This record gives sequence, structure tokens and C-alpha cells, in this order.
Amino acid sequence: MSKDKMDLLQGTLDLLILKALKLGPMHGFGISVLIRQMSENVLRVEQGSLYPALYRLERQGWISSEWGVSDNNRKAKFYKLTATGRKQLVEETSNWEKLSRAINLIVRPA
Amino acid sequence: MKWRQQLLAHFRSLFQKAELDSEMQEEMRSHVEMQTQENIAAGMKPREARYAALRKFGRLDCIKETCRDQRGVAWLENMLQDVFFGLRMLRKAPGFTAVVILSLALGVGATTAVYSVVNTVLLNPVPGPQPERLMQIAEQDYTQGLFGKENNKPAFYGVSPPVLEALEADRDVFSDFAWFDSAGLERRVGDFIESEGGAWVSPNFFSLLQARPLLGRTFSKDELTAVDENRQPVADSVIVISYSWWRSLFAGDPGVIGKRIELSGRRFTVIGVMPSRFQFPYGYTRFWVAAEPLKVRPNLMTLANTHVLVRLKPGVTEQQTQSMLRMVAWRLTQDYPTTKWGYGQEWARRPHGLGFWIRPLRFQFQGGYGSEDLRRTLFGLLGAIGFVLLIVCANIGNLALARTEKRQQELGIRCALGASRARLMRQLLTESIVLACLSGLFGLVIAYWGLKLLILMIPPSMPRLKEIRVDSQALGFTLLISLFSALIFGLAPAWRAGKCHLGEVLKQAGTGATPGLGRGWYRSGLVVTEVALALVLLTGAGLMIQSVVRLLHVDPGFDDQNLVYAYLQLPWKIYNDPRHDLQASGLRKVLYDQLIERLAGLPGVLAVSMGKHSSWPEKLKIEGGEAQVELVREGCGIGEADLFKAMRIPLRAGRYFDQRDLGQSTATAIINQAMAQLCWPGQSPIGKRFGGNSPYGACNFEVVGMVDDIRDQRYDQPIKPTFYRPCHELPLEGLAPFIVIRTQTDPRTLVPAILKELKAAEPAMERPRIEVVRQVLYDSTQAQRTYMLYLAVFAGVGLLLSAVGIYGVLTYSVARRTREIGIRIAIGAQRRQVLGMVLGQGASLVACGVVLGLLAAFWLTRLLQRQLFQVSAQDPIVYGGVVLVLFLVALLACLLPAIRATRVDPMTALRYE
Repeated sequence: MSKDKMDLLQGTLDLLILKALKLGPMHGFGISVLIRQMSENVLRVEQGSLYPALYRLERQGWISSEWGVSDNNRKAKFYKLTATGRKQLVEETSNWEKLSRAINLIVRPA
Repeated sequence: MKWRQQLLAHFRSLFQKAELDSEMQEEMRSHVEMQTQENIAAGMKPREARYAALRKFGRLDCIKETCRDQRGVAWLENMLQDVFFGLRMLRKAPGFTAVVILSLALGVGATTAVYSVVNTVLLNPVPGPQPERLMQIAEQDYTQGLFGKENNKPAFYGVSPPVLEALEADRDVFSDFAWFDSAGLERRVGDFIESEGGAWVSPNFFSLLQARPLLGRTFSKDELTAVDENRQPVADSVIVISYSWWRSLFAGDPGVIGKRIELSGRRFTVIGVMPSRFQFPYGYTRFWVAAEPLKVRPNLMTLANTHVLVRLKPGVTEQQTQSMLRMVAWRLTQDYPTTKWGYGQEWARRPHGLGFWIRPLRFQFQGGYGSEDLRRTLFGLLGAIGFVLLIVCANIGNLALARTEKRQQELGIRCALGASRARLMRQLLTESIVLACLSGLFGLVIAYWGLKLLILMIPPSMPRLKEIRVDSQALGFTLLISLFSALIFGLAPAWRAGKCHLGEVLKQAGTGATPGLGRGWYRSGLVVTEVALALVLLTGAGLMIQSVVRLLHVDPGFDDQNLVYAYLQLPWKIYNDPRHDLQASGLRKVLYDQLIERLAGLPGVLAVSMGKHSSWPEKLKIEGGEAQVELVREGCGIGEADLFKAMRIPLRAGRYFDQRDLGQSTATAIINQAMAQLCWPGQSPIGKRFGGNSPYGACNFEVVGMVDDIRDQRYDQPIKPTFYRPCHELPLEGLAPFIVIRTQTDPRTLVPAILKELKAAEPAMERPRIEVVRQVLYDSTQAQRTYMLYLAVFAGVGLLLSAVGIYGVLTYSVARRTREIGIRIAIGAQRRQVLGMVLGQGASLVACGVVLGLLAAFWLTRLLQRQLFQVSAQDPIVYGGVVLVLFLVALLACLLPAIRATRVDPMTALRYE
């Protein structure tokens, strides 16, 4: 648990959610599954972090939500990226690249 | 767009909370169900799959709460919750709420009222945007021909005609330019002509001041009245009249526009009426007439009297304007050679030649005569009412603390349920703020009424551009002081609530132990502060009372009973001719003799005489000395109509004037004691000589008599060194001559007869102003009396409130110590000892407060010194009296709880628990 948490600092989680939503509208459960699969089962998003993050992103206007029906005919709340959210994703991605490059430079000196 | 969505979101989170919550619930349930489905797909049994899903999801309620926080309105929600809870709590304690709201509303209301007056009269008297850019320009001048240290101070008068002309030519430098000057026009009232005060203005005068008429319109650019060199109109024209004239001359007729009014022989058509708040340039300005810049022959009285108003262009600084004005001054100095008699010479006389002062218009409202006193008075009142407010806060603080202690259990339970310290403090502070805001609302009502009383303090001669009312600034001020007082009285209970120890709360459940030391200190501190503040207020009021008593007991130096002055406004054409003064003074003598004879014949008149005051000193030399002394020449009647006999001014040495003292060759003078002391200290002045060059011509006088100093205008008027000459010798310049009439009974009944005789003797005279001397003297103390009254009321309220404070603390303390006192009595303490113990406790608090208060009063009342008459700000009698009063009242306040303490029944007390 502590390992997961370490990876999912605030902001990083936002990036992951935005990235996941770039693939298309998705419900909360889908997002958590997607993140797990895309990270080859390394990153597990706790529900306790996921939902507050979704609410926060929605309040900031980066994602919007509406009720829909899931694959297996269930009522579910679907989230999708807004225009500002797309811009934010670009920004967060470049930030992340800068950060990871910087860390790589230190951790693995050429 | 985005903010609108956010606002909508906030709105939803506040008002559709249940809906949002159920949505969230639904979402999470669907999550769990999907997980369950997946688990089943992975091969779990349904039941197990569901449990696993729930387990994986984590603590549902906790997550929900975190999600709710994301809505970003938690603080607001909490606050609203606190506010509603606070209101509920207040409703549950109506007594407490009523007391707090009433006292705080009074405090806040009175403070707001005083602030409103200070703000609109002194701090921000100029309306419109950027009032600081509205400037006045005047020639650099210095006071002269006043007395001693009043001479050569920078003076802000106005500009002379050539300067106005030059500035007018350069008016593009300013974004707006206007001027005004005082006007005196004659109006016929009944049998008499009266001189009415108004203003000559430039047509844009009103628009520059952003003043709109109540009715009609103001001047257009071309409506200029032609004015001659004597500042009298030479053709019929248009006029804007004041509110007071509209009410008095036209009875508030709404159809007044277009009506005519005759002034100085010309007919003026009324085109506008100004609202009552517009009283500018003076409080008694009756009318405004637009005119060409006034051309006046240079003479000493009318040199630089035109006031210039400008609005600076945006971006132009005061320095830039100054340097532009220096250019104007330089050019004018070149144009007007100093050799010629006139402006050039006058400018050359000044220490720095022609130069200019420039200042914001605001100062016009602060510089006038007497406004310095008003300023002190208003700030004094603001300070005093601020003290009362602090006492109110301290009292409420005590009450609120007691209430918080009653609520210990409730707070303890909240604490036990997990409320943080900050949360509890916030809740209690919110309650205080709710209370303060409610009081603020009621306070506004009180401020509205209080203002009506305060306005009476402002002298009618004060100029005014703004209505004195509770404006938006005052509203802001009310809010500010309400919150401030909430902080003062709310902080301690909140702090106390924050410090809750559950164990202690449970132990103290019910009542019991002697109160903790900390709280005791705090409460005592509040009482000490209250006493100290009350003492300062009492001292201020005491000094002012003492001052007014002294003022009203001043010996005026003459018998002021049944005495009237009738000031004569004579036609200058006949009675004042500088070229043929001898002839004019002969005419004056004939007239004065005739007036005296007529009035002396009236039944009920005991004595009649003449007098004339002067405000300008002459610089004369004493024979045998070199130094110049500033002396005032005043007029008196002689012989049968001797002024000193008529007024019963005691003759101290020498003789009265008689027929010998008339005529060209003789030059005798009667002097007052002040002059004798100044010129010949320790010697008899009789036979001494003085003289020199004065505006009246060369003179050399011999002293033949000495009389007492008199005060006939104000009880606190400064005594000037004065010498007297027969009244008709003095030209009419300066203050008007007056007839002194002493009557057998109330002189008011004789006024019509007096007016009739005067009119008959000289039909061309203006209506004389008749003053009952004793009334004038009494009225002169009005400002001090009002100030005293307000200070006394404030001090009384302060004293009462602190007495309540002392009473409250002691009662509380006795109640908490019931058991202890019971034990004391059970083991043999005498009632007297118990009484002494409680009284001692109270007395020590009061003593602390008195010591602190005395220090503060000693330091603060110095500010009062200038308004005190013959009383030192450190007057020991006042200080002693105030301390005595305070101790007596405090003793009364302590006595009740003390007596209650002695009645404690040991058995009841021990079973108290």
C-alpha cells in the first residue's frame, strides 16, 4: 500500500486520470481498471484517492460527467475530458516529462 | 464562462446537497457492483465476490466525506451551520441576547454617528470622484495687524484681480477652473434695508463642485451679471438662491422658478434653488450670482479676496502646477512695477514677493474661524465614545464568558465527539460575530437618530457641500467596529472553549470547585480595564464641567443685567468719508447725540450710551520708550451719555470724559487695566502719554482715566490692551458702532420702540441688530456646554456600565465560592469578616483600575487642555472628585454581592453539591 501511495502523489494521479480519459469517456471503475492494466499491474489506484480526485478535476473544469449505461447494462457515471482538460493534459504531460528526465539524469548518470 | 459554471456548481453543492449525495452514493454502488461482477468473472462466489469488492473499495463513508470536501464549499457550509446554530443558541437565551444587542447597538450606533459627522465635516467634506484633485489657489500672504504671536503666520486668503485675470487666461492648464467671492446685496425688509450675504461666482462654479440644484438650473456660460467697482449690480439679472432663502422668502414654493427678487435696486429672476446640503463658500451664503471677474480699485480691504478653485488635469502633479504658478507670478511682477501705488507695491511688501499657495479644497472646511475647536470637540467625542464602546465590549465579554462556562458540558461533548479546538473556537467566534452584526443593524438605527442631535453642534457658519448622514463609508465603519467588538468580546470565550479538557468538564459537572485562577484573572482584567476607561471618561467630563462652571461665573467687568446693544448699520456715503473725515465725524456726532436723546426719552430706559469695538490693533509707542505696543482703540459715549456709567464699569483711577475732551486740540484717553499693566506696570498711568502713526493718522494721547477690563462678547474673550476715545471720532470701518441701552426691566419688551426711534432719526440706516448682552454672553458658551453635556452623558454611561461589570464579576465570584464561604462561616467567620472579604476583593479591582485610569487620564486629558477655560488638565480637585465618585459607585456595586455572601447559610452551602 505504501508503495502504491508513493507512486501516486497528487498531481501524478491527475495526470493518469486525464491520460486514461483521453481514450474516451469512462466511469470510475473503468479508470481504475485501465490504470492498473496500462501500468502492467504496478499502479493500483485506491478508491479513496480516485473519487476525490475525480470530483476535484470536475470542479476545476478539466473533466465533465454524465450518467450513462455501462457495457453490462448498469447505470454508471461517465467522465470525459473537456477542452480545458485537454490543454491541461498537454501541460501535465510535458511537466511530467521534464520531471522524469530530471530524475533520470540524477538517478542514472550517463 | 468558467466562473459561471463554478458558481452554478457552488450553488448546487450548497442547495442541492441531498441530490448530489445520492448521486455520489449511486456512483459508488455501481463501482462496487462492477467490481463484484469482475470478481465473479474471476471465479468467486457471488457473496464472496461482493465482500471482496467492498473490502477493496475501502471505508465508504470516509471516502464520501473526502469527496464532499472536494466540492469546495465545506467552509461556507460550516459557517452557515455555525450561524444558524448561533442564532438558535441566542434565541434560547433571550435575556443575554437582549442585553448584549441593546448595549452594543447603543455603543456601535453612537460611535457611527460621531464618525459620520467627523467624516463628512472634517475628513471627506468634498463630494465627487477624486476630491484631492480639487484645489484652491491663493496668493502667499501672512497675517498682520493681529495680536503678538498671531502676526506673520502663513494665511490663505485669495487672489487679487490681476492674478485672477492671468490665471483665467491660462485656464487650459487645468481641467476645470472657477472662482467665487463674497457678495453683499441690499434687500428691503419692512421699514429697513438689510444687507444679505451671498457669493459672486463664475458660471461653472456649481458644475466644478458637482452640485446640482434642487429646483431649476444653475448658470449657463453667458448669464453674466454686470457689476460695478463697488461690487453692486448695474442691471437686472438671474440668481440662484439657497434652500434657506427658498424656505423663508418663498415659503418653499415649488413654483419659485421665474419669480423676481429685488436686491440693491435691481430685479433678479430666480433660476434655481440649491439643496440644503449645499452651503458654500459659507454656511450663511444666501444666494449666488454669476459675474465677470470683479474689477476693484486697489485698496487695503479688497486686495486678494477672490477664491480660485481648480481641478487638476489627470497626470498633472501639484509640483508641476506650482512651477506653472511661479511663472505666472514672475510675469505679473514684471507687469506691475512696484513704484506705482497698487498691486505691485502690495506684492513687494510681502516677505517673498508675489507667490502662490495651493491646497486641496478640503482644507477650506478646516481652516475657518472656530472650526479648530469643532475639530477638537469632534475628535474628543469620537475618542470618548470609543471608550464607551470598549467598556461595553468588556462587559459583554464578561457576560459571554459566563455563558460559555455554563455551556462547558455542551462544548465538552462536542470535544469528545471529535471537534477540533479550532472548530470549537470558530463556532463560538461565529456566534459572537452574529451577535455583533445584529447589534450593528440596530446600531445603524441609533446612529440615524444620534446624528440629528450631533448636527446641532455644528455652527451654522460652517461651509458644507455634503449632506451629513450615515453614508456608505459610515456603513463600512459600522461593520468594521461591529466585527472588531465581536473580536474583543468573543475572543476570550472562544479561547476558553478551545481549551476544553474533558476530564475537567466532567469533574466540574454541575457546580462546585472554586473557579480556576486563569479565568479569575481574565475577568478581573476586564473589570480593571472598565474602571480605568470609566475614570478617564469621568475625568474628561469633570474637567469640562469645571471649565463650564468657571466660564459661567466669569465676572464680565460690568453690570450685564437689562442691557442691550443695538448695532448701527449707517449709510457710508454720508457718515464715512475718508477724504473729509472731519465733516463725516461732525455728522456722526450730530446723529449719535440725536439717537441718544431720542432713546433716553423712552419710558423704562435708565441710561443710553455709544460704543464701538475694534479688532485691529494699532502699533503705538509709549512716551519714553522705544518698543511698539499693540493697542486697540475703542469708542465710547461721554458726558451725560457716558459709556462707563451706563455699563457700570468701575473707574479705577483718574476721571471720566467730559466736554473738555472733545475737539481737535485735545488728545486724552481713558485706558483699561490691561493696557496700564502692559505699558506702565506698577505705576499710575494717569498723566502718562503714548502715540505714534496709526491708520487714523498721527496721534499723541494723555491718559486721564483708567477703567476695569470688560468682557461683553464672550466670557472667555481675551482682554486686549484698550484705550477709549469719543465714539463719533472713529470712522465706520471695521466693526459697527452700537448704542448701549440700560433698561429698568426686561429689555426685550422695548425692542420695537427702540427700532422705531432709530429709524426715525436716520431713515437710511439698515435694520439694526439688537443683542441682549447677557444672552449673548450665555450663548457664547453654547459649544462648551454641548461638549460638556455629551462628555457627561458618555461618562455617566461608562460609569454605569463599569458598575454593572463590577457587580457581575463579584456576584459570579460569590456564587462560585458559596461553599467556601459556607465553610468559613461554619468554622466561625463573622458576617463582618465575610463582608469585608468580598468588599476587599471588589475594592482591590477598583483600586487597580483607578491607578491605571489616573495614569491614562493624566496623559490623555492634555488633549483637552485647549478647550478648558481657567482649568488645568491636571486639576487636583477634579481628579479627587472623580476618584471619589468612582469609589462610591463601585462600593454600591460591590455591596449587593457582599451582603449576599454574608447571608450564605453554612448548611445549605455544604449541601450545595
